[in-house]
Amino acid sequence: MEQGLLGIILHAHLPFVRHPEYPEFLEEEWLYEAISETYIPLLNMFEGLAADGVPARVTIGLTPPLCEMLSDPLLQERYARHVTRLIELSEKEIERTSKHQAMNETARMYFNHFSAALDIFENRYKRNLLTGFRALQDEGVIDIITCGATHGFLPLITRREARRAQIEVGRQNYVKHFGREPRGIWLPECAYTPGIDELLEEAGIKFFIVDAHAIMFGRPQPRRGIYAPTVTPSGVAAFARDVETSEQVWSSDIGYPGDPDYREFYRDLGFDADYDYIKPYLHSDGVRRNLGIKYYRVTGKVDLGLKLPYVPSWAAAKAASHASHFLLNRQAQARHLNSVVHRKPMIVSPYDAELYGHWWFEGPQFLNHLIRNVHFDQSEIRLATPLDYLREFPDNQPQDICTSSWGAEGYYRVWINNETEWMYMHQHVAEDRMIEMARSHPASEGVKRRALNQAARELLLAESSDWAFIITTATSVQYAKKRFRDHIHRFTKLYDMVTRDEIDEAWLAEVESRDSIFQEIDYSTAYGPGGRAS
Amino acid sequence: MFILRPSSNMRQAVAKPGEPARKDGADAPAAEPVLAADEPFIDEGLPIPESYDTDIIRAMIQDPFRIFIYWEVRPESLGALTRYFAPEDASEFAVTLKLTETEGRNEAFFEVSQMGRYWMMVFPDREYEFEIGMRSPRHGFISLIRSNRVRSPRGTVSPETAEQSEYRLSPPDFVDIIEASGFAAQQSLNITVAALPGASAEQAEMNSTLSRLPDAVREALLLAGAGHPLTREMIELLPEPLRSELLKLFEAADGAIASVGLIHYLPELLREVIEDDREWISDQTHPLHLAPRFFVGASENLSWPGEELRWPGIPRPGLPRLLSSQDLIK
Repeated sequence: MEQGLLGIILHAHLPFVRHPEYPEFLEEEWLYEAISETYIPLLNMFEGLAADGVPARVTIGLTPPLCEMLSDPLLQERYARHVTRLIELSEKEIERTSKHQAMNETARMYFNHFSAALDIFENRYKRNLLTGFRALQDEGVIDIITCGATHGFLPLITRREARRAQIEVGRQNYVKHFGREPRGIWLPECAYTPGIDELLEEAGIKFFIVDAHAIMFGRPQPRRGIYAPTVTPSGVAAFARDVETSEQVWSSDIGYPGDPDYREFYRDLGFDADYDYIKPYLHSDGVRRNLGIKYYRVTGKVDLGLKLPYVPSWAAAKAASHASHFLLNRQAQARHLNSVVHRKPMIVSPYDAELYGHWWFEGPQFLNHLIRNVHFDQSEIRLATPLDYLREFPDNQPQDICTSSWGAEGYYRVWINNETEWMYMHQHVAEDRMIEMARSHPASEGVKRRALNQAARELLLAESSDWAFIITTATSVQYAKKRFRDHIHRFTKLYDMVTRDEIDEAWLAEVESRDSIFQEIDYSTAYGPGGRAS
Repeated sequence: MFILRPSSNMRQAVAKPGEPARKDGADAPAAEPVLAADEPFIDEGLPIPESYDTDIIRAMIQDPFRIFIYWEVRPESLGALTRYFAPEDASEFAVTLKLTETEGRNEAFFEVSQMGRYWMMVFPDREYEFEIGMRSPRHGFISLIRSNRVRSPRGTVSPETAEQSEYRLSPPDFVDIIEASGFAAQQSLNITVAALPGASAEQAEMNSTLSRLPDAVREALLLAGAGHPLTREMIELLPEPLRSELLKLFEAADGAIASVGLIHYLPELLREVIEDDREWISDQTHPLHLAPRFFVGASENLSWPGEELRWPGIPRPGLPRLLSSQDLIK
């Protein structure tokens, strides 16, 4: 007997990184790695499930910057070049490891993996993976939700018009890529503060995702805890992340990805191989970097140098075992919850999509087993999307949900802290100026219109939550600072040009070619007083 | 709860002898700078203004206890405020930041410079607004610019039950919901400890951190962490704002839910201890980051006029009662 619903939500996002001014660029590889390791494996999985008649009913958030990059011809060309070089390298690796059986098996795995990725990229999807996701949605296999235009952290955008622009431009971009209106949204970083729900309602959004405490700390007390959505004052439903399932996958102590048999992320051929051998596969600066070929397993809490060789068959078996374990736990959880919430619980399990495949190499295998086990092996748990739930249970508790995010400690500290506080005055002044320009130039044409549209692009790119996140987590700090400053610089220059009516067309054209996101943007619709045209 | 973001730079590239080292940041600079032969180039991006020649003040929530504000006002805006006064009056005005807790109508004033940024310590579940203006003993506060209003999160469960009977919960039923949702005291404690910086450090280090909390807080935490309810007497001994927030829960529900509430505040409590250890409060960019609460940092209250002036000179009704900083501390 059915005891509950499981809502798997994958949030696929990367910041917009595109540098036509350089022949190769390290941070662009975030996208290439994610294509090979996450997006193509997920597409393969969903298509396999559809072919076998297994209803996946998984929700995927594909953010506008990611959609823009996946459909960009320059980045598509560069991905093909990137993966072609990896095929060449893995072919050499088969030869190099021929006397080491375990490593040779792994080298062959990489060769097959990269070769298949290129074939699927070129021949099945004609270089645009979005066509695959769109078809899967049209066939009813998955639900795709949208996000803020550039993953801007909405509560730290203080002007309502600028928040609305993030949502509106995200909506328009979804329509461009998927041919329909979005019904759900992944709020960037799950960051919510009251009032955002009104903007979502204006955009036709029916639901969004929050962290658990948004509902648990909401007012009044939630009758069903985090196992049913609550409805905000504007009528948009909020679904909360389940703490238990998050822990099982995310936790560094008890989470599945830390199992000794899984592939070790941090030991990479780019750092292990002889320099002269690997140099042709590095960038022109010759600096060692991760290449995505990794021969070792997690092994345990030991130094990287003491890791043991990866055995693909062991890892695959462990992924199947973990999927069974995960499902058994959900069954027990749902049985218990049913007696507490007195309705089929909706267990919402949202994850960064790139966890599956990129960080947790075997993650897509785990998901594949899980979805098939749910369908074939039992009847207590059913996979459902938030829209499925709202169709089945349209009446839900009204609640003022709480200010929150899914960052460390649950609020905004990851994005506003001692290291990032300097950014916000620049961002807010740019927002004020963009709103002012949209009001004072409501219907510009020609080159001024181009300048205003580019100003909107630069502002949106500066607002990306990724820059503050990267600075706080101390990963690619210099790049994040550079990106923020570059966009503020270009916005400020555009503002000066527009207000002085002296637009440097050659410079504008160059900037348009660099920061080419959102070719469909209309600054007056995004930032003007009228907002969205009905 | 930590979120990972794909990055190829999680591990610093360590060059081996004879190999080039990666500069932090982009692969190549955006422009060709002129460098000394031994000077590494780090591309920090294109130049951005240090100031915008505008009047602006904005407030941002960080968590239930902290708000960040920044402001910038032009000298001519400040000068314009006082030019209607006689020179001897005008000389008494000082640039002032005014904090208003809107629902309680509490206020505090801080003498500040014309541009700055502060971290404010605040109470959970209150709405705040900030203004920059000029203030004098004789004429009071004249506002120049006002921030957006921000509401600090409650940081724990609400004492309020639903009006509709189908959603209303008794305290024991709500405890069941809290437990089922992973928010019971012990579960929250585990998650908090796991997420702390240096969580894998020795237990002794954790104990040391806990030991630096005030006695009443530590004793209440030990009880709550073991799943026991708090008593009114224990809550009364806690410092503000814990006391008032937990009393709300105690009175609306019971000691079990107040116990859960205390654990929910643990991350912020521990962070304050850790930050104090790191001497973050002495950071010169945050001169008002003062324990225990923001009102301690308020300048002294002088004798106030019966009503305030609101720039550009439009009178507005005064607040019912202007509290002294001593009123507010208690």
